[in-house]
Amino acid sequence: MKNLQLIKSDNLSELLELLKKEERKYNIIAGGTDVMVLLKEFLIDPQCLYDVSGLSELKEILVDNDSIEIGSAVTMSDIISDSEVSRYAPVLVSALKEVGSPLIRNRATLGGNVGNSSPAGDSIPALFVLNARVNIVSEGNERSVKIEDFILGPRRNVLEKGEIIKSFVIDKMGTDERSFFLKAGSRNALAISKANLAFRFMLKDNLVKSMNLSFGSVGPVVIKSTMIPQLFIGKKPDPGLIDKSCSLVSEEIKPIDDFRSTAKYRVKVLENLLRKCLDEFC
Amino acid sequence: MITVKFEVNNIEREIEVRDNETLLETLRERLKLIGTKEGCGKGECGACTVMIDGKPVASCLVLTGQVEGKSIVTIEGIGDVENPHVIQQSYIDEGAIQCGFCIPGMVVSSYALLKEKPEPSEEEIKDALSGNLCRCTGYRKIIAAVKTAGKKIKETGVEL
Ligand SMILES: Cc1cc2nc3c(=O)[nH]c(=O)nc-3n(C[C@H](O)[C@H](O)[C@H](O)COP(=O)(O)OP(=O)(O)OC[C@H]3O[C@@H](n4cnc5c(N)ncnc54)[C@H](O)[C@@H]3O)c2cc1C
Ligand code: FES
Ligand code: FES
Repeated sequence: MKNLQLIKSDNLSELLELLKKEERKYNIIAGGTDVMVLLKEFLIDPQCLYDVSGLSELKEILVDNDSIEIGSAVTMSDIISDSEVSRYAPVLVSALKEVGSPLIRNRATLGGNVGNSSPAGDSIPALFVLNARVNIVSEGNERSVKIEDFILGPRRNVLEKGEIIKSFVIDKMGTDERSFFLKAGSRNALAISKANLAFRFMLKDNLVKSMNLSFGSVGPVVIKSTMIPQLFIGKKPDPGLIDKSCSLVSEEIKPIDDFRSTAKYRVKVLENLLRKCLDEFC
Repeated sequence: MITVKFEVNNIEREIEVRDNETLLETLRERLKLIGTKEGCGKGECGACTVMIDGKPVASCLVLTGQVEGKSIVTIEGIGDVENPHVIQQSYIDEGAIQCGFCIPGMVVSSYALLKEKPEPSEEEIKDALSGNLCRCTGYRKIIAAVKTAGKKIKETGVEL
């Protein structure tokens, strides 16, 4: 690994101040489960690393009336074991349980998963269906963007120099809502997704009242489905609708034909995952 | 270089390390705690598993500069040849060790699990060890060893 400087602080505003003045090439590091691998493989070559893993300001989970705010440096294990997140955002917990192994989840953070902006990041589809907003801070400035506007492409996002992710604000799901996160990888543990989906819906008097659906790992960025929810809203789900919605999958996604899986295979996998969800609630 | 103060196996340490030094390198090369192994170096095999504040992690992906003020436990802090821990003894008794390369990491992950859940189910054992790969044993005997260790810990009331 190349030589570099590690910069730490136990105070957010101090770190942001240093970051603003930084003229060298830098990277943020939280759990390091992506950054360390990228460094070891010489895929990034920063002159310094700014460590946010020790900042208590980024490690809180705050529960409000209709939303939950999760600090960017909270580890996946801590999110999974938080009783309020499990209760009000079960789809996020299901997604995080699919990440790597306990060794990874004990270090990996939500900020790192989103900051890495990989189309295979497992938290991202779940954050999509929870209408997550990303709170971004820099010295003297704060802004908030929707998760779907945050990620621009594989490993590209809207963060500008001096900015870091502070937290995520997600919907609290109602007790009458249900959700799923399903992932297809090549084996159970430690598998990067070949395709995954997050699904959240509510039925009222047998009719679909609301539906959020997103697909991950199948295009350059996670995809929010519009056609499939449109098809269902206000209707009573039946086998005909399910068949029709599955046939819409290939229209909604532009699958990536990378080394992990072929495009055709990904579409088929997603259709099957979707059918599994829909069969559950019809 | 940076100075880092932390605890390793209950001993306070204050040492100078390279900024880009991994915890695995510090443990093996500076502190000569060579029970912790390096396999893949990329978080995939678990040979380098240690506990940070009680949680098992891949030490090859942690910078030593990030563990300021933390408490680290390595396999040496769990037990040794003269004084094997019940978990280590159970691995031996169940014949769960072949080449042995994965075992320090397996034992550390098993320890962290049994501390949280003294009577884990088979599923919980599999999940807890899912980041620790073994090329030799086929895992069955390892799972049996964790179950046996759990029983012995309960019977004897040893504190983890
Ligand atoms: C063996 C292994 C298995 C894995 N399996 C999975 C898996 O199944 N699913 C999955 O989704 N991922 C997986 N990953 C990838 C990785 O663990 C996750 O992406 C993780 O969430 C990254 O979090 P981190 O805190 O370790 O991030 P880091 O590595 O510290 O950072 C990742 C990126 O985010 C940026 N960043 C971090 N925090 C912030 C912040 N607060 N503000 C701005 N930018 C920030 C960093 O600059 C960097 O670009 C795996 C990794 C390994 C090594
Ligand atoms: S050496 Fe760290 S996980 Fe393989
Ligand atoms: S005993 Fe040889 S790798 Fe596990």
